Amino acid sequence: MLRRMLFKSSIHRPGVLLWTTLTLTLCAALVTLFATTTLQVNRKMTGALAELGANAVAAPARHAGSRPVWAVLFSEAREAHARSALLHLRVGLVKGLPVAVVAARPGPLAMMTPYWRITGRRPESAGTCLVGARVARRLTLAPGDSLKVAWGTAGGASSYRITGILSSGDEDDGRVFVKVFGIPSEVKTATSVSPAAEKRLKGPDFTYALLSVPGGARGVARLAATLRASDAGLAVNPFRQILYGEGAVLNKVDLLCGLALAAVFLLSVLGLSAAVASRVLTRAREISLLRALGAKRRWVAGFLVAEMSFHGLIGGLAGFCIGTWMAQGVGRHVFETSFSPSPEAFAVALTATVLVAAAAGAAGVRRALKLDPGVLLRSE
Amino acid sequence: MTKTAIIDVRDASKAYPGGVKALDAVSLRVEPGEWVALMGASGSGKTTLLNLLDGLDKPSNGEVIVLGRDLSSMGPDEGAVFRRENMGLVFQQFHLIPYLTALENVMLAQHFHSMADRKEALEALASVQMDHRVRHLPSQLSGGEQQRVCIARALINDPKIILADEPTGNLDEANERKVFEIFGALHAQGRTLVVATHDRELGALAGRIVRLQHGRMVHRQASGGAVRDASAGPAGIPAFPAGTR
Repeated sequence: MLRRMLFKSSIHRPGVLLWTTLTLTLCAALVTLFATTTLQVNRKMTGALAELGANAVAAPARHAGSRPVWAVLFSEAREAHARSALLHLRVGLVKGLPVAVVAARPGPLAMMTPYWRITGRRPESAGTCLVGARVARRLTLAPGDSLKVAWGTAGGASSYRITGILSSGDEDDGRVFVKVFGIPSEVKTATSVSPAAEKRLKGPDFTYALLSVPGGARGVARLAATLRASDAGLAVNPFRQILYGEGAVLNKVDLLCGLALAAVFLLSVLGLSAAVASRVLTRAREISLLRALGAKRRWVAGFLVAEMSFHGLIGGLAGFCIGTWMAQGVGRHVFETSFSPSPEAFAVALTATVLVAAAAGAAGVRRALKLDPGVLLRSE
Repeated sequence: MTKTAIIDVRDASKAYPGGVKALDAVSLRVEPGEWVALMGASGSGKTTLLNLLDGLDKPSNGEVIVLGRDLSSMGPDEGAVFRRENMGLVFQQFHLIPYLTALENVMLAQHFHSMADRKEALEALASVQMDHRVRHLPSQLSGGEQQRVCIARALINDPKIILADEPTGNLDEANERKVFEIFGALHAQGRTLVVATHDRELGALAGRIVRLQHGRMVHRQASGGAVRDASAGPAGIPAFPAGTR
């Protein structure tokens, strides 16, 4: 009975239905436009920023009681749609000077360090290396030269051919990068390293990971928290400058769209509330009759809210289609990229529209419950 | 032997903001199965008294006891439940939901009472000779037909009391007759009727006429036209509680 009443009361006044549905459609269209734009810009900017390389580093936690479990990091990073590259660092001696030699898989490393300026090319095979600009200057090295690294008494020596010189502007300029497994893992025969030089070899091997985490500082913070909770013995730290840049851009987009959404929501509620309140007055006798026939106040309130929510549903569906079409236009003409319809935007648009409708309906309910059936139904 | 009153109004007054007194210390007892006509000029307080009886309004002073329950102490929802369980309302302006068919208007009252039952609703419409117009909207029905739908709606939940406010006020003579017949049949079934009306003919059909003037009960009259003092109840039943005269 209620469903039939809802449907019939909605189509009974086509002008009112048209007006409220148009308002709600416009609301849903704008919500869809801003939600789609925010989501897509976030997604595309995060993707674009990921192309800039690593924005965080994971290393063994300082006071961790257990050994770091790297598998946990990679699993959590996959969950967070983050890219990662594992790097093993060992200090070796080149011409008697200590040099940090870093072994990594070339593909992931290239993804994390697209900002390196390289003279020559990256190493692609075992036995080749990329030398940091500072090391190359100090030892007078150039692409095509050979580089012999002594590992002290622990591991003998390795020889590499230099394929390129990298310039990063950071500590990587003082390192040598080789393909993973380019560092011997087992103790080999002792080399001719002097005892004085041996003393300059620092500490054991060190392993760390570069990460490119989507979602800026918040994304990194989430991953760090997850790792802390998983007790993997690892700590994630952001590269602040990169993250601040990412965060600032994304926050501005979010803020702008959030403000626009709030304005749309507020204006829709205000506009529709006035319309609904005036509609309640025109239906005062009908509402009074429902009360006279024995409808409880809750029933009347539910009926009016459901009626508006029904309009909200229609408006939400229509508005989503229009809003998606508008968002695609904005994507093409403003951002020069394509925006696709997203289920998240659909959910946001539908929820917002039904909420607007229900809020406006609530304003009508307030007025409806103040009606005096005794006065409105009297014949005198 | 004195029966228990189904309606017992004790010294009920109703004043509106601004000092307008619509009812002034009215007392009325109605027995089960009795047909009472409330008569008087416009503004005499008939509808106000009916609104107190159906619980849509509350007295400023006094008590309105219906089926042993004091309506003035009920909240709006409690009053609504009491109304749908015990009363059928008939209005001068019919007040049918404009977008529901005749059948649906009757089923709506069932819905509030318990559960909509199409078969019962059709029977109720048939009982007022409206079975041929069940799918019509109120705008497609004449005034008399709308009033009969309104009566069917009032009867659908088998109420103990029927309260009618100017039920023939908007009807032509032929439709008036039909309403008279229906009300006569309802009275014959033993239902309690309280009808506010200007219509002398309808008033004459009632077992008792209660006349109101400027919110005060002026006198009562048996259906045969014998005017009695306002303080005297029918068949020897005291109209007012002690001390109200």
